Amino acid sequence: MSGFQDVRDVMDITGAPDVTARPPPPKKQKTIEKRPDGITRELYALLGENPPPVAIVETKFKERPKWMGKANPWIWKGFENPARSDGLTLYHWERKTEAMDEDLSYRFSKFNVQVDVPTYSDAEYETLKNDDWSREETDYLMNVCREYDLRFPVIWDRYEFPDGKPRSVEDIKARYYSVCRSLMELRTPQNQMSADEIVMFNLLNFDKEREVARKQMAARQFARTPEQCREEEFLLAELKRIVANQDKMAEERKDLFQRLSYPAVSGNGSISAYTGSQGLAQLRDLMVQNSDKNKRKRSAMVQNSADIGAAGAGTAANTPGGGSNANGGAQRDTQAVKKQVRRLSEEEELVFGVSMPEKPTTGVKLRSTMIAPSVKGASAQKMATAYTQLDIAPRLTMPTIKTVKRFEELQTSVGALLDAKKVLEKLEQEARVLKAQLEAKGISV
Amino acid sequence: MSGGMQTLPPTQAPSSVEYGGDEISALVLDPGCAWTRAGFAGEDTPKCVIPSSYGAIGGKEDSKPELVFGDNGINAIRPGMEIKNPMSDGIVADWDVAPQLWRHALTSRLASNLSEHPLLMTEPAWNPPKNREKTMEIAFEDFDVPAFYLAKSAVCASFASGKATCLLIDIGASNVSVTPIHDGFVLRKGVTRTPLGGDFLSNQIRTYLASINVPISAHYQILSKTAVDVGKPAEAVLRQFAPGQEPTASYKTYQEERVLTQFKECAAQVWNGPGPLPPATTPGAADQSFNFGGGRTFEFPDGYNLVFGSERFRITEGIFTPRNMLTHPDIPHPDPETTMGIGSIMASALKDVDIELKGQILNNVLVTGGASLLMGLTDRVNSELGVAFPGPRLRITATGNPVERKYAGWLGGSILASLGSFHQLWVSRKEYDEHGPGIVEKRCK
Ligand SMILES: Nc1ncnc2c1ncn2[C@@H]1O[C@H](COP(=O)(O)OP(=O)(O)O)[C@@H](O)[C@H]1O
Ligand SMILES: [Mg+2]
Repeated sequence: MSGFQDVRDVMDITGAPDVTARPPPPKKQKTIEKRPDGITRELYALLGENPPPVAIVETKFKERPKWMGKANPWIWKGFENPARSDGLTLYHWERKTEAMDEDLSYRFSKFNVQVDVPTYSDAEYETLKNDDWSREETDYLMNVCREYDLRFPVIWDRYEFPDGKPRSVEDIKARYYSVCRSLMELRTPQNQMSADEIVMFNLLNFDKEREVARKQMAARQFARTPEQCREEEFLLAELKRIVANQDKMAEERKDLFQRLSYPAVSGNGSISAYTGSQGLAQLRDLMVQNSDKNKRKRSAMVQNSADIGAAGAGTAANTPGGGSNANGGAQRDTQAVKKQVRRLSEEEELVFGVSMPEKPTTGVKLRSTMIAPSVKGASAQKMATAYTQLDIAPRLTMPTIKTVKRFEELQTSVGALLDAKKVLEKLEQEARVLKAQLEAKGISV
Repeated sequence: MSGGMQTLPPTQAPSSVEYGGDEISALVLDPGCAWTRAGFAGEDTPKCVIPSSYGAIGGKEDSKPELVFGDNGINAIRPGMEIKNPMSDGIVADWDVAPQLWRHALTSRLASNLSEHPLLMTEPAWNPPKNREKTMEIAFEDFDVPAFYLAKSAVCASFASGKATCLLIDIGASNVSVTPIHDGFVLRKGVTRTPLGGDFLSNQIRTYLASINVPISAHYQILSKTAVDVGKPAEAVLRQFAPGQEPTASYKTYQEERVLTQFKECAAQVWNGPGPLPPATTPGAADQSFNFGGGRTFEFPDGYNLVFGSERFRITEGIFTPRNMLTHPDIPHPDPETTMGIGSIMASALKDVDIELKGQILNNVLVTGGASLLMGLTDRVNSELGVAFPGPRLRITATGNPVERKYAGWLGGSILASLGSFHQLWVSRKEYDEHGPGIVEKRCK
C-alpha cells in the first residue's frame, strides 16, 4: 500500500484513506485441474497447461527504493514575476518546502536584462544637434534602439519614422553612436574619464565611411558568380605556386652569391693584411663563418679552409719572424717551425713535394683520392658533362699539389658556372611567362 | 522590480544550466489553413489537431446554420452540409467562425475553463494589424484568458529547430512562405510568399487527372470494391443516396481532397535532375526517353489504379517553375507568367537583409510545413538555393520526423510558452484592460 500512500503524499491529501472507494482487484483464483484417472502423468503433462519448453526468465521489477520519510508533496501555487509591473499571477507546481512561505523572488526574473540606451535632457540635446536628424527622429531612433535591444539589423528592418528620409543601417548606427559619444563626453570631460570609460569612449567611435566600404566589399564577395568563385580558386592556387617558386629562387640566388662572394679586401685591394699567420687565421675564420650561413656547402668549405690553413702554415714558416704567439693558430705554426730542422724555401717545397697539413691523416693515400668532390649526385653528372664540353679530363693524370689545387679551383668555378647557368635559365623562363601574360592582356612589351 | 533578485549584468551570458522550463499550464494554438493545432505548452505534440474546415448545416435565409467542427463532425455524411474554411492565405477571413473553431480546438479535449490557462497563439508574418488586434480581442473578451501572446509562426518553427537566426521556408496548404529571422525577430522586409502550397498541388493533380479523363472517387462513395488490374475499369459497389439526401458538392470536394493528399504522400515526387525536367511528348502518353526511377501505382478508393511515370514530376514542377504548371479551364490556378517559384521568392527574401546576416541566414535554412514532405522536395530546394546564391556556403535543415515537420509552428510555441523567462512577455488581462487591443503591436513584435 505504500505506493498508494506516496501518491497521496505527493498530492498532499490528508485524512484516512477511503478504503471502500477502491476495492482491491479480485485475486485471480488459480484452479488446479485434477488429473483424470487412467492417464499417465507423463501423457497428461503433454496435454493441458504445459510448462513452456524453454525456461522463461522471471521478470522482476526493480526493488522498491527505500525512501527515508514520506514523499514530498507538490502544490499548485501562484507566483508573481518581479520582471513584470502588472502583478500578473501565474500558477505552477512547486515542491512544498520549509522556505515556501518566505517571499522568494521568481528565479527567472534575473534574465530580464535590459540594454542601456542613454536618455538626454533638452539642454543636453543642444550639443547633439545635427542637420540631418531632427530632434523627433533622434528620439524615435533611441526608442527603437531600446525596443529592439540594439539589434541593428532588426532596428533597420522596423525603422519607420513618419515622413522621414530612408536610412541605412550605417546611418542609424552612426547617429546612435555619435549621440552616445557626445553625451558621454558632455557628462564626463575626456580628461576626467577612467581607463574603462576611455575604452568605452573609443569604442563608440563609429567610422561610417569605413563601415560602408566594408559592407560594399562584403556585398561584392557575396555576389560572386560560380565562374568568379572558380577563377578565384584557380588564382589562389597559382599565387601559392608563384610564391613557392620565388622562395626557392631567392634561396638559390643567395646560394650563388655565397659561392661568388669573397671576403672583402681592405682599402687598396692588396692581400697584405692576410700575409701574416694571424691574418690568415682571421681570413679562415671569416670564410668559415661565411660558409656557416649556408649549411649545404658547409662541409666543402671547411675542407677548403683547412687547405688554406695548411697552406698558411707553410707560408708562415717561410716568413721570418712572422706570427706572434698571441693566438692558438699561430702557436701551432710556431711549434711546426720549431720542429723544423732545415727550412725549405717555397720552391724547394714544391720541388720535393713537401707539405705540412694541419691534421695529417694516417696511412698512405693517393693524392688524387684526396680531391674533395665539390658536388654530388645529379650536379656531379652535370659537372662531368661540362668537363667533356670544355675538353678537360674529369680526372687528373698527374695530381701534384699544384695541379690538385688548380683542379679544385676549376671544380669550384665550374660549379659556380653551372649554378649561374641554372639561374639564368630560370630567369629567362620567368621572363617568358610574364611576357606571355602581358601579351595576353594586350600590352606590348 | 520589487527587490529580491538582481538581474544578470548585461555583459554576462546566462549559464546553460540556468535556462529552464517552468510550466504554467498554458495552451498553445496554431491555426493553419488546413489544420488547427492545439495543445498544452511543454508537450512535444499537439493533443488536438482538427481540420480548419468546418461543416455548416441548414441555415437558409432566416436561421443561422448549425456548425460542426472536428474530424468526426465534418467527415460524417450529412445531407445538405456545406464544407467551408474560415481561413484564406494563412489568415482569418471569416471572423464569425474562426473563434468558434478555435474554441472547439481548445475545449473539446484540452481545457474546460479557458480562464485558467494563458494562451499563446501563432500567426503568419503577414498578418495585418487589424487581424492581430481582433485576435487579441477574441482571446480576452471571448475566451476570457488570463494572459495572451501572439507569436509569429515562422519564429516558433525556427525555435522548434533550436535556431534563432535562419531562413524559414514553410510549405503549407495555401502558400509557400519564406521568412528571414534574426535573433528571434522576423525581418519584415524579407517576408515573401507565393500561392504554390498544398492546395495548388491538389489542383495540379486534379488538372492532370482531368486531362486523362480519370474521375476522382472519394471513400464515402464506396460501399465495397474488388481488386482490378492496372488501368481496368473499377468494379465497386457505390453508396446510393435517396433524392435530396446527397451530400453537397463542397463535401465531395473536401472528401476528394483527402484522396489527393494520399496521392501527394505516395505518388507525387519532385524532379531532381539531372538537368531540367524534360518536356512531355504527348499529353498523357508515357515517354521512355529518360529515366524516372520507375512508375508508382496509385489506387483510387473505388479500386481503379494507374501507374504514374513522368506525371509524378510534372504535377509538382509548377512549384519551382510556375511557367510549367498544368492548366485546365475549369480548375483555378495562379497566373503561370507572373507567379514566382520557390527559387525566386527565396532570392527576393534575402534582398533586403543586411549583408552581414546573409551568410549566417543562408547557413541555417529550415524547411517545414505539411507539403514539404513531398518526396525529393528538400533536395530540390537545396539546388534552387544554390542557383540563387552560388557564392556563399549553404546548409539546409529539414527534420526527418514528419510530425515535427507538420507541427513545427505549434511545437515552437509550446517550447516558448513553457520557458520560465518567457513569462514576463505575456500580455495580461490587466494590461489589456488598460491599453486595449492596440497593445498587441507594442508587445508581440
Ligand atoms: N506527405 C505529404 N506530402 C505532400 N503533401 C502533404 C503531405 N502531408 C500533408 N500534405 C499537404 O500539406 C498541406 C498541409 O500542410 P500544413 O503545414 O499543415 O498547412 P497549414 O499550416 O496551412 O495548416 C495540405 O495541403 C496537405 O495536402
Ligand atoms: Mg502552417
